[in-house]
Amino acid sequence: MPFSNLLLDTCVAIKRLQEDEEGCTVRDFLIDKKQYLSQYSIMEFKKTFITAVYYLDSMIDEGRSLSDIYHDTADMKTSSDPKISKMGARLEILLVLLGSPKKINDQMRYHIKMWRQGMLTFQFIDNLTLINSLTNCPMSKSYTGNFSDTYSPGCICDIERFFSDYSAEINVIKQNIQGIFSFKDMFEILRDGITESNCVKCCKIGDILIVFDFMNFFYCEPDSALCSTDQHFDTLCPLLHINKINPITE
Amino acid sequence: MNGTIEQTDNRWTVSYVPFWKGRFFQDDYLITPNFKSDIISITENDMKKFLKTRQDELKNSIIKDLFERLHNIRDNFDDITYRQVNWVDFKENIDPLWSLAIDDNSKNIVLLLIDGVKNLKAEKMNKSNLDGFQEVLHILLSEDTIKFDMFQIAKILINHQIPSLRFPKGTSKLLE
Repeated sequence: MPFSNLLLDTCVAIKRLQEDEEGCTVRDFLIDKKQYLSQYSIMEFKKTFITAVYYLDSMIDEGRSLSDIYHDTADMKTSSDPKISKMGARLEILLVLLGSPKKINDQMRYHIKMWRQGMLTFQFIDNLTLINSLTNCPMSKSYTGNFSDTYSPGCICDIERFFSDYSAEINVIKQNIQGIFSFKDMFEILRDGITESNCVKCCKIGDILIVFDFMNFFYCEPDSALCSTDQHFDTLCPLLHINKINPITE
Repeated sequence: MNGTIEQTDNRWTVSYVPFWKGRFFQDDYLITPNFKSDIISITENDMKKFLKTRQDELKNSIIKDLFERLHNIRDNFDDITYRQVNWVDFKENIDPLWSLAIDDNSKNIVLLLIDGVKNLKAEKMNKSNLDGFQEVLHILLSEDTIKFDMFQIAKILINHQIPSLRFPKGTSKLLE
């Protein structure tokens, strides 16, 4: 069935901006379709890339030369600590976006300043219609990457309300994902609940939150679907009677 | 030393060919041979006016050249080779605008143009893309840059399907 309204998950929203074959496939698939994005995805994007922008900016402020930065980034990527290796990978992507410069110059600094002022997030959501997120995450409210906005484990959101408003549906999901290895973390968080705003836990159930955002917005309209390549959604969407479509295999 | 600017009392002596070369350009292509012997003596105010005028002239001449290239591409749009060759010329001539952008707004606009140009290949181009570049270049030429923030400029480019952001291969894996 052809779907005309698609809610993109964060990965597909990024894939459509990739310069590789995968990006072309996704862009071709999305032509003539109305594309939506949950506000929650903005938080995921900022947490992934805007934090890296700050990291890169502070490396420059620290006085590291560009060759040092390239070297340190490559080094970080091979770290056994996943947090460091992921940051290394993110920094590498930012350096490519900057055109793999050979020296730190005005142009590079202006670019980074523009990103910090929200341009990267703005470009990420281009031509997408944003829908509200049930968590009402304060970090997803602006494009800018104030350091405190991007890194505020104590920020207040509606996650507790989400758990109480949707307890029946959460129970259905819980029963169906119990024992599935790839859902281990998500199951534990659903089982224990989140009693106060907790960004670390919240991020681990991002796929579930996006499914609920979809359900809340589209009310299971027949011509709407969640557009994702993530296999988690193959399990989650049928549980809430939501259409799911994969732009790569379709 | 690239050039000389000397101040005596309230007067400036500018040996301005090497000066332009050092201050504004990485290469020689805009410098005419007769510039090399031009040495003038002016007041500080005149000096500022001189710099502003010369800078505007150079900026305008580059933008007009870019307009011409856009027109050439549009007029011969179906000739893919001509399109590619002119597109490469256009790309190469965008960069000097960076050195001529003084205020933050102009710098942001030029950076967005550079990104959009970098990400667009001649074979993927459509005529709306050309309209987008033309619209933004007009803003840069009009000296009304202050009326537009960087998001408005980015929106113009996005509305004309100009890919101002292209992530490298496999970027989405960072979120999986």
